Amino acid sequence: MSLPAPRADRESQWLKGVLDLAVLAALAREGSAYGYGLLRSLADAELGGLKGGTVYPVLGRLEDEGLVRSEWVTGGAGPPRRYFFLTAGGRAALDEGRAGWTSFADRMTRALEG
Amino acid sequence: MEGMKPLEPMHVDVGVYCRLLAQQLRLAGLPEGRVVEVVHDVLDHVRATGEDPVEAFGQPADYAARWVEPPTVWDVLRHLAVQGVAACAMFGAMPALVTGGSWTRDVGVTLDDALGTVPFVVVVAVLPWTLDLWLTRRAARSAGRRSAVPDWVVRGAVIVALMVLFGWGMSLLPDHGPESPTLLDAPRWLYVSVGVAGACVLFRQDRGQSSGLPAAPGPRRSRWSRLRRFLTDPDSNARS
Repeated sequence: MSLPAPRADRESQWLKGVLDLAVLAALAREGSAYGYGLLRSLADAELGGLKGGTVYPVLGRLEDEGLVRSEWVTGGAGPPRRYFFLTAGGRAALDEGRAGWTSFADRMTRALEG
Repeated sequence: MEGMKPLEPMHVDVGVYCRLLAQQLRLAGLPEGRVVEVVHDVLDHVRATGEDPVEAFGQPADYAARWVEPPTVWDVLRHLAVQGVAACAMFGAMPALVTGGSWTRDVGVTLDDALGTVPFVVVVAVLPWTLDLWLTRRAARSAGRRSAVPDWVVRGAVIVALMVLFGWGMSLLPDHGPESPTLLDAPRWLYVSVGVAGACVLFRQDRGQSSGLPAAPGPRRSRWSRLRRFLTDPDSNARS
């Protein structure tokens, strides 16, 4: 009897729970980023395949919570672009999230090892 | 999706996508400042990546639902009721407005007058929150797909059906002629005041189709700051 195939959407379910942390971490790495730049940064962190339709609402929610702020920046050519920055609250939330994830991952690893 | 032909995918024009998205966001009651930001992010993303907006963000109705809960049936009924009452007030004031004489003179609204306002109320208040809403939602769920029944066919069929229904309803009612019973007697000024208030409510209610969106991303400017910018730097309008 073969083992059941792993749920194809399992990773996306995991990611859904921690995507806000991944976005905060990407912003911390980049210093500031516009939407597509942030997607590229997430892809560099091997979180490719994320769509704009997933990441922008997360940014909006983080902005509502005061963890991220945005600013219109006018470049040399082309229209202004909205850049996102981490706030002090965002840094604190990221630190707290990292600690929480590490603790959770350790417990989960132990649980999976049986 | 029901009524949609599964044709080969079409590249969706970002302007069309943003218009449909903005309508859905406004209908759900998202503040205008946030609507503009959401739309600008879509414009900027598509400009930077060249991706199809539906591919990157999903259908406009689905993407709007990620930002704000879509309007419930009760929301729609509330809008419809407010708009219906406002339209009744506005069109009910017409006879009092065109009747000459003193503002304090009593004017009667007859049953025939009231029935005469029904088609206007349907066109101004009921259709926008039923037929238009459904067509808008249908378009926002099927960007890039061709509808099996075009909007103009649906609109035409509904209007013809309503005309037939109204004519049939009128034929069933007894012809009162000049003896039509009076439903309400009130001074002219009162009708006109209520009518003006009704007109204000009617035109204040946003059905998601007001406020044009700029073609390019940028910070949202108030009317005052745009005017000040225009006065101090008239060329700025051409640049932005």
